[in-house]
Amino acid sequence: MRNYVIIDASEVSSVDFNQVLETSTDTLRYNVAGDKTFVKYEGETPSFLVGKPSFSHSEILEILSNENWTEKLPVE
Amino acid sequence: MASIDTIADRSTGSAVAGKAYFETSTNKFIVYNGSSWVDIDSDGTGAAPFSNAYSVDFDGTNDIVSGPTVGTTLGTCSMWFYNDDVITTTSTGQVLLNTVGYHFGIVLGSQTGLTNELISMQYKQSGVWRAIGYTGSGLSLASGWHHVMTAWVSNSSTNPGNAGYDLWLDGVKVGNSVSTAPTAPDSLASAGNGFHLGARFGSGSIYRPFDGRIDEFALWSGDASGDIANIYNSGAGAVDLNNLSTAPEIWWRMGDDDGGTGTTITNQGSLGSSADGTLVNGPTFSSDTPS
Repeated sequence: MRNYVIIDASEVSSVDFNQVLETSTDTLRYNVAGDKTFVKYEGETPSFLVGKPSFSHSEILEILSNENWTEKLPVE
Repeated sequence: MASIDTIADRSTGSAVAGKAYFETSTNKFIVYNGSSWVDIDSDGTGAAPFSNAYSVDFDGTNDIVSGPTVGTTLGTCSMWFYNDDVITTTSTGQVLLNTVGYHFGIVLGSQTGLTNELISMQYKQSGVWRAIGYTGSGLSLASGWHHVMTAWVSNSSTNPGNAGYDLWLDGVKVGNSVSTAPTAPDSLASAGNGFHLGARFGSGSIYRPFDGRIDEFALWSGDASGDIANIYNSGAGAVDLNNLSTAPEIWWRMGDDDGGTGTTITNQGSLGSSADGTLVNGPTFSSDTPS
């Protein structure tokens, strides 16, 4: 089962990408304000995420559907 | 193409050394060796039958498959997708395909600014956004496997009397709404930095991720819409695209060429490994395939 953890953008430098499913700092998804992102993992909680709240797949989908995370793409 | 004579029974065949027939009473190939008829049996090592065991599952948060920049004209694009969510004309857009910078894209739900769009194709040409959509009040798309195709055709329904992009959903031409008609097909090269399945990826983030599965993604530089009935296969599942009148330049089997493991999607199209894909952010292989 996948677990999802929201982190501050300022914490990205501390992410060990060998312990999460995201590929690199360049492939993260940020909220509209650009100050938060999230990572996901399976199995044991990565050490740098211990103590942070984690969300299930359905829970993170609900969070990401919020306008804080999903903005209308520009139609120019 | 060479052919072989068919015969009901060898007793009526021409007994000349080297003469061969397909004998319909036995369903065997037979060859006369100068003294008798020899049956030709299969050694069991012929080409394996076409099968489809895998698709790629996108979790709807940030999963994508990235493809490289290649020079292929976006003549025809085809893929199967399984939308986990019911899609309506008010659903937040979910991107099936986009080229970098959102130069070209195929999107489910509300996205391009057309009214009541269920699925659409968006393309920025000469600085102008152009959209072809399937629109209508109350339209919806049930969760399940569906097939979408866009093709640049010489006489387009979306630009009557002129060339343009048409749009098919589940084997039926549905594109019925246009913002500004494109005047030339797009090219993956014009996008500059590759393309992605499963979301828009660029400008420092990931947008409009797709929640579901994608299978048998294919691109042709030309118009393959004449094969839409063969490709859709009445919804019965994927077919061997190399058996069509024109084989695709890019054909991602989404796991079938890679044993359902790893992070590479091997390109089975004519461009070969120069157009392999890469799983990004953890999409997984699924045994659920179109049927």
